[in-house]
Amino acid sequence: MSEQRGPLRHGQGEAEQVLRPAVDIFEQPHGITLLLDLPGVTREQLGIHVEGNVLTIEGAISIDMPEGMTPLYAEVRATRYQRSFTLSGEMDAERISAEVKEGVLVLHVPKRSESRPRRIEVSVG
Amino acid sequence: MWGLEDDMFDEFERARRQLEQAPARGRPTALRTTGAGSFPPVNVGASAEQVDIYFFMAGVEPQRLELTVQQNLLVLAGERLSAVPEQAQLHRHERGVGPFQRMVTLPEDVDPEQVSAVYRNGLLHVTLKRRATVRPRQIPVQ
Repeated sequence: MSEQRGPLRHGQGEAEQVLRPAVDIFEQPHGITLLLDLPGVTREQLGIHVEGNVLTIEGAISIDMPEGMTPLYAEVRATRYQRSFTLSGEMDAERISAEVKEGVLVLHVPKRSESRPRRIEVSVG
Repeated sequence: MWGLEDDMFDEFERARRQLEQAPARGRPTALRTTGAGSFPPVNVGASAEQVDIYFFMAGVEPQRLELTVQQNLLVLAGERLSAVPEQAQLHRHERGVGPFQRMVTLPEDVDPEQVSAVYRNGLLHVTLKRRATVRPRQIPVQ
């Protein structure tokens, strides 16, 4: 798995500020798991799509702001997250599963069955 | 829908620049933190009635959070645990783990008795009510 770099595809017109979420990627015999920090993103505002071998995660931040609030200080100044990854051929992009918990997106990308280590049953005759 | 919030964040950006450009003009600014770049990132807003503080911290169990207000200092302490299984082969590890602490200096008029905090979608929203007595009051002219 490698990461997509370069210009963002929706870059027509003005450049929109996009946050790049921090990621952990780990591999287990059955596949890989990606953990992405997306604080402030609801399930409804989250988009996960695969185009060819490129997996893209996008999310919009929803903040509950009271009426009449004046901003005093901000370290998070964009309203969207986006990050893309290239999947290697052994990954099965058709069977990605996703869950969100406390603002962390957990993506499981299984390996194609032919790429998985197979356990061969030995029967005693 | 997002237009409004984009404006909001532009406002944040302007406010931040002003803070950076004018760091010490007599009175201290309403906010002090342990420094940008620390975990978790924080946004602060205020209205006449309350002060709203937003901590962007995904993946922290609420029972591992400790929020205290003492005088005019709000302290958030917590710990983020690793979600990577020990036997897994790690390819990328950007999500920090371990204990963290951030402090925010509050305006003088917040009521430490009236604080509420909600942790949802990895966002901790702390609301502190301001004391009614110092809110601007309109005085009718006879």
